[in-house]
Amino acid sequence: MYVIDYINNLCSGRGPFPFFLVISSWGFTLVLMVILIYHFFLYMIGKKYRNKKFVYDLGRDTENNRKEKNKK
Amino acid sequence: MTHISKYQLFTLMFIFEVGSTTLFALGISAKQDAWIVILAALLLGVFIMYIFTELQKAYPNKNFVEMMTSILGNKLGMVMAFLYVWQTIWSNSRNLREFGEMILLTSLSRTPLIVIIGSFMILSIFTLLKGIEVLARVSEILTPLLLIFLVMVFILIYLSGEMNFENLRPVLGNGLKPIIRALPNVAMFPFGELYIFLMYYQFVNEKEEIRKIGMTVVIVAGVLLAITLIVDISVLGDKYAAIAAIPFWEVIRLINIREIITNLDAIATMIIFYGGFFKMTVYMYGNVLIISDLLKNKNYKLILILYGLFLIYFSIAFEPSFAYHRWMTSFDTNYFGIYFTHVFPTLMFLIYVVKRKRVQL
Repeated sequence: MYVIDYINNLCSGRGPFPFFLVISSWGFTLVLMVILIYHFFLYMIGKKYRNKKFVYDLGRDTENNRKEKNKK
Repeated sequence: MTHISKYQLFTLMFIFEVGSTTLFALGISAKQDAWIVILAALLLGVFIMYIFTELQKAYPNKNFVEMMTSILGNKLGMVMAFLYVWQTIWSNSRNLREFGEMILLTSLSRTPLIVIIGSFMILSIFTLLKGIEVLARVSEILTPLLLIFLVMVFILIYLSGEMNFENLRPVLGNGLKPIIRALPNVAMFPFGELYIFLMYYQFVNEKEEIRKIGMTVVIVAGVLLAITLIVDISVLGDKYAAIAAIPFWEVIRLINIREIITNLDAIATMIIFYGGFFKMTVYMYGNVLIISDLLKNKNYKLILILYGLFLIYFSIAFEPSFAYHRWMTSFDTNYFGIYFTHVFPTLMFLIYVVKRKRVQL
């Protein structure tokens, strides 16, 4: 009974679950902002990005890549 | 391999957008200017659809989870996908509850909520076990019906002589502040919710048409919602539209053409229910795909059944009543919904652009 009450409280309207969503969404926004600023800074100082997976995904035949190639 | 045509994508997205929005008077906190809020949110909707489709163009054969892991790396991408699972569970159960309550309020007032929600869920699970193509094909049949019904309601209510356009005046009587305050709410619900289709784009045959379809859906649905709001406010007035349980249903009940065409509310309930069914099912399939990707489990059927059972419990446990549900809407959208629908995809796209520039250095 105690467990069911506990789970019900966990899920209820403005209980811990929406609180978790609020905190995690705000926190993750902050993390993404930091990543963005970090990469922008590295771009400004001219540091090349060499992540294999990203480069592999980027090198595939996507529409953006085709546009870039056409521009060149 | 699952395939859906561009027309099926259009009908799925359209029905998803219009789905539960007919239940609420969106942006009604701006009073008689609520329809302006919808049109302003439409612009934000076009912007976010541009971001979604840019991501899709960058990764045409990948789903949302794979995009996250490619752009943010495996660990952070997985964390983000995990958060999206919980946000989608929240939206999905809200949606399920809304339609359960709608049936309870309008047709089956003595039936326990769990029976309504349970049968709704069985239907959704049954459809999804047959595959997303089945849902897409059914949407092809039902979308014209929904569209014709909405237009017919607009015409019939006008012919009934119930519309008083004076209710819409003064335009911008309270200035721009209430419109700006109501904007995040409508930007998230319904336009931002289209993020779930990032899990579907990989199935579309003609991928180069996705942006055109997405933009068309946002514009057509936005205009239709603005007209619905104009009808709601001009018939009920902004005060009653704000407090009515289901404003559009109240409007439909007032249709009366010479005592011949009247009592259309039963048909209306059924057709509004179609919208809810599609919205709920699209959300459900999208989220099950996210979970399967996270668990690296290709057999989604077991996850689907377990997810459905959890949703039945959750949609009943998380809110005591429909009034509470409506009160919670602004909290959900302003405090976390808008982050998942607008902020995360935009930041993700910007990170992608900067990383791409760094690769090309």
